[in-house]
Amino acid sequence: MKITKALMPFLTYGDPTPALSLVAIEACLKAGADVIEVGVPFSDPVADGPTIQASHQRALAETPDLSVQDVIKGISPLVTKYGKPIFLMLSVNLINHMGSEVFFKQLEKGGVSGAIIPDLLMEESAEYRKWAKKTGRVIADFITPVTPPTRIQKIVAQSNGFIYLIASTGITGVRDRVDQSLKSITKTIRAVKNVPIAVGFGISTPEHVTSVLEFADGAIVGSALVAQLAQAGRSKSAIQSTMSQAIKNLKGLSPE
Amino acid sequence: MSKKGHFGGYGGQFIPETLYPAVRALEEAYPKIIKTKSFQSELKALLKDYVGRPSPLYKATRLSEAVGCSVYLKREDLNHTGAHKINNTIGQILLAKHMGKKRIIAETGAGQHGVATATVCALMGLKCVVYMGEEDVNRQALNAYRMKLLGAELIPVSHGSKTLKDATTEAIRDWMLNVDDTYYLIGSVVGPHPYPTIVRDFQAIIGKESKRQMRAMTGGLPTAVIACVGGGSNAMGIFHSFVKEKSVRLIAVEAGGEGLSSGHHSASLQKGQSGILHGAKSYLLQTKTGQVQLAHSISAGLDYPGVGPELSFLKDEGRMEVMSATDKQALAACQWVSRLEGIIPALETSHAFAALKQLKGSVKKSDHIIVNVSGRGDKDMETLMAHDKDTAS
Ligand SMILES: Cc1ncc(COP(=O)(O)O)c(C=O)c1O
Repeated sequence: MKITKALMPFLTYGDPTPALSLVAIEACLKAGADVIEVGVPFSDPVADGPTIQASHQRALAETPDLSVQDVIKGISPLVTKYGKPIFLMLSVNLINHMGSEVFFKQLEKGGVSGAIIPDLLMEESAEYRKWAKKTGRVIADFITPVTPPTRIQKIVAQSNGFIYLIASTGITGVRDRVDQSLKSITKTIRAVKNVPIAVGFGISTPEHVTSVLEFADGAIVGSALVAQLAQAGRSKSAIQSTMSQAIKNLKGLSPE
Repeated sequence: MSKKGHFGGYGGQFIPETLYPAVRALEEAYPKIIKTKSFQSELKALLKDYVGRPSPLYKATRLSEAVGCSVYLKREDLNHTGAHKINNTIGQILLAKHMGKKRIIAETGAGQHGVATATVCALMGLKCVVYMGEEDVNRQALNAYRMKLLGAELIPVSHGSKTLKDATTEAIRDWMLNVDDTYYLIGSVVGPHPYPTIVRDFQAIIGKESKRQMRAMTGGLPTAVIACVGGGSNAMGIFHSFVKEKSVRLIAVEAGGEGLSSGHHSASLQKGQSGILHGAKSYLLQTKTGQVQLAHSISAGLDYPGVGPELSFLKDEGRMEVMSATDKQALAACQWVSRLEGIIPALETSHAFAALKQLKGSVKKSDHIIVNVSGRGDKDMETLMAHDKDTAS
């Protein structure tokens, strides 16, 4: 897995509609996003904050029977077209419900790089890891500012994808500063293994992105983009220009 | 238990990494703290003098006649605050105190657990925040006010189904933001390990007392034990001492809502499949795409799409039978028991009585059945009044 100086936007599939969420994702890719995280809407996303939960609810209100298969099928053409890594971010119940073998085989078929599962601890992950490995997919590993050093070592040692370093404790949402202790956690991680580190949860401004990319390999921007997309309404052109502008802005490129 | 924190294929710890240190700290502290003399003596004294334990096991003569066997009522409705919930909150608040936590958060459905939590927080002088679905705040207005009177901060939850499920999600979020100083006081045998075990242990006193009282009254074991199931704490509490007594039928009663085939019910054990919600794997009501299905019950305390992992396991093992009662049957049973025994049960508990009524005809005269009277009906007066037409005799 290679991630370097990467801007990694997160958007929810199906918000405001499946087709328009794909328009938004494609606009991000065109504007220079390096890796995409596609959230699969879930009725009870415990690890997400109000902005992303509201986005999940909008998506499910629009398409109540939206399935994980639908999401994979929807984004698969974008993998082929842009050749950038795309990950699904989803609650463990959605995988448990379809079975991890079926899930990872479908990811493989659709060319999706792997899964980010915010409510799956290393201790419960054996079955999921087995199928990820068999299908050549990746499961991101979470580390937070409150993860003890001995545990960081264990998590990193078994990681085969990238480390999702949570910028601050708590749930996703826009925050105004990047915790400086992250730099030292990054050192602890790198002392174990050279694995890509992406920082997320609360990254919202170009300044955040710049400061994160000084010491990490990727900056994940979720809530801030989801909120901007919600402002763009349901017009295809408004969504395209809003997302494109947002990505360029985050990358530090001057507005057109 | 097979793997750590698992009951067969159920249970576990499906939580965000952010919560790992807090859950781990609880897992380590719990067995150590409960072994200490000071914890045990405080717990014993409070259960006796504050809660009013032991609760009586009462031979219900008129109910026995009506059913055709001996019926005994385990009177958890007589506990301080009016339900079994206080057994657990007393235990966990002492645990929180010994762990040095300053702020307590809880979720509540019917409001009984919220009231029981607000009560013990007042008792210990700890800050208390309770999350409650907006719909429940409305249908359990009395309990909502009781919590405020007790000094708790009540936060109504307005997303999703606006009931227990969403209150629980919100409490978990609060915990993630405040892991350092906050203790999450879960109200049922659900959530990530070690909660299902902790809550069951603190509720197990119901079964321990029942067994001893039954022996004293009849010289033997009961034929069957009946309890209603929301998350499953009153059921696990009374079942625990009898699980190894294979002759005793364990009967769990789920909320059948508008009927098991209506799609509007809370019958997770009968209509759900293995799923993961709020930190553990258990039977869970889900749509065909794996979204959590909204539960329905006339009783807020049973209105939950999941159920405890240990109950899920006992069902699969064939050790426990599962029955259900509809909203209408529960309402009718509430009136039935009120008029036969002068005891007004909570609507949750009324489901257990409705199941007892269903057993009529299949029981033998020599049978001894214990019904766990998990709570009293005072909190349900508004709902009962609104449905008076349905139950009018
Ligand atoms: C009186 C009463 N009985 C039963 C329940 C259901 O909970 P559990 O299944 O955990 O006993 C509640 C929950 O609020 C309750 O108040």
